[in-house]
Amino acid sequence: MSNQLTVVKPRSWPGAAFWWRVLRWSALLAVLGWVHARYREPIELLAGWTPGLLASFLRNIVMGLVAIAVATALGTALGIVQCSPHRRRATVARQLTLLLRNAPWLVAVFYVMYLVPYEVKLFGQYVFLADWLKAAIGIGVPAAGYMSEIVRGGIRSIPLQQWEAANALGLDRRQILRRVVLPQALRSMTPPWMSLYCIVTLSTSLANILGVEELMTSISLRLAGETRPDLLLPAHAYTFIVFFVYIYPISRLSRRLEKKWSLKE
Amino acid sequence: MSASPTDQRQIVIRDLVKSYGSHTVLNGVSLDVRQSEIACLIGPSGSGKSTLLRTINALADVDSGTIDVCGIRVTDRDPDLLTLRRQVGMIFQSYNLFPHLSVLDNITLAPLTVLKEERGPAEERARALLDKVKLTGKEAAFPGQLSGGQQQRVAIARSLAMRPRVMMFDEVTAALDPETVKEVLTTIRDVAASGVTCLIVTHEMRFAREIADVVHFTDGGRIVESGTPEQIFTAPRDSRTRAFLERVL
Repeated sequence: MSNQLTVVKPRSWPGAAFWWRVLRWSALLAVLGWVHARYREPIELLAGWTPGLLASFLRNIVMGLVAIAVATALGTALGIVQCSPHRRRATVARQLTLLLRNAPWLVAVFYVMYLVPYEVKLFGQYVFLADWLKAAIGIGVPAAGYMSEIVRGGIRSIPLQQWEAANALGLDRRQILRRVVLPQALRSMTPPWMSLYCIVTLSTSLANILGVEELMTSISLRLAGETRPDLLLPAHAYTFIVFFVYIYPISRLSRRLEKKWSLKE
Repeated sequence: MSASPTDQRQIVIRDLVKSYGSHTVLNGVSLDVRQSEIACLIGPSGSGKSTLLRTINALADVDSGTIDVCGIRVTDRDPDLLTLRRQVGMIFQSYNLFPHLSVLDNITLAPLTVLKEERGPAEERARALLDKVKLTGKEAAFPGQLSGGQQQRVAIARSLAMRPRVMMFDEVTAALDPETVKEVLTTIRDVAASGVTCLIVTHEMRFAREIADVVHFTDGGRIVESGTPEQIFTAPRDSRTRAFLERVL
């Protein structure tokens, strides 16, 4: 909007909001200082493990990317069919979506891990499927249920007049989805899609239960070698912080986009 | 006035009935539109004018009756929608431009995706059409940056890009500011003069009187009276036509 009023604020002493911010940051620093003093030895130990731990966290990130790719591809297809004018196809897609949304993720991962063979024949060649890859696909499958709902909501958010105008120009359903409806729905779909990515990435730590080597597994292995119960809480706090540092900016960006795009139009 | 209508009938509608639940919107409409004819539909709101247009290019289905457009039986179970919609253009009250596409892309979308034209010639033609609707230089603008009248003229150019033989206008000036109505009516006048068959639903009585070859007055889902503008506006035969014209003129 170009015709917004520009409000010129008079220069003054910082307001209450500023002092609150100072207070919050000081409190945070104080807590960090206390934690550091109190747990100096475990923190130094964990810091020494950091290169190895971050390498296994890379596995979590890659698994998250594979999972969101699977969820996006499968979920977009399901979401589009949910909006199909063929009553029966739409019903099947809706029920499949419901099933996926209600499947416990760990169970889904378990099924994919045990049902998918460790190697598949692809273009005449045997391709080895690593455990982590199967686990990532297993997380992506139930997440596709959520993606399906995101896509359905996005398609529904575009006014019917857009369909009519495109229909009147001779475009068929596929062309309308591709050229008119989905490009416009992208805006409303992106923030929830980013949230789904965050959830999917967080869920990759589930794979540790099934023996995939990722951050959680890596920590557990190292802890097992130390026989030090006092390390248990700091080590898991460390895992929490690593995930948080990665996820939080994405989550913030998603919130910001949502706000920005809902204000327009 | 149009470029002299021929005797060939381009739209033939017989005994059309359509209802939404218990509400009958079209109650036995029969209508002929000849090639190159300018036909105006007038009548009170809710008399079924817009629904009639929407049935003609199969945006709405019907309960019974037949519609033939350029030799296509629209009321068949599985009509050739692509051919139908290539021949029949439609302009809506709310413009319905694609907000995510530039003016130029709005106009070239259908020629590129439906007619599989090359981008170069399609864009050249889109520019020519923009000249025709007096929007030269607005190629890169987005619909949200244009006034209502300008958007409606882009919609007309977008429809003309498919080279339709019939154009349908559904109360296209109803949502416009009074000062922009004129520019849109001028554009419709140019389209009509080019020999395209026009079916116009309008509340602009002076415009209808000036441009139409035939005026149809609709009420209660029927065509009550048809005639030349001269006859309808100066000597209406039906009491309902008279009552309506007294209210709006």
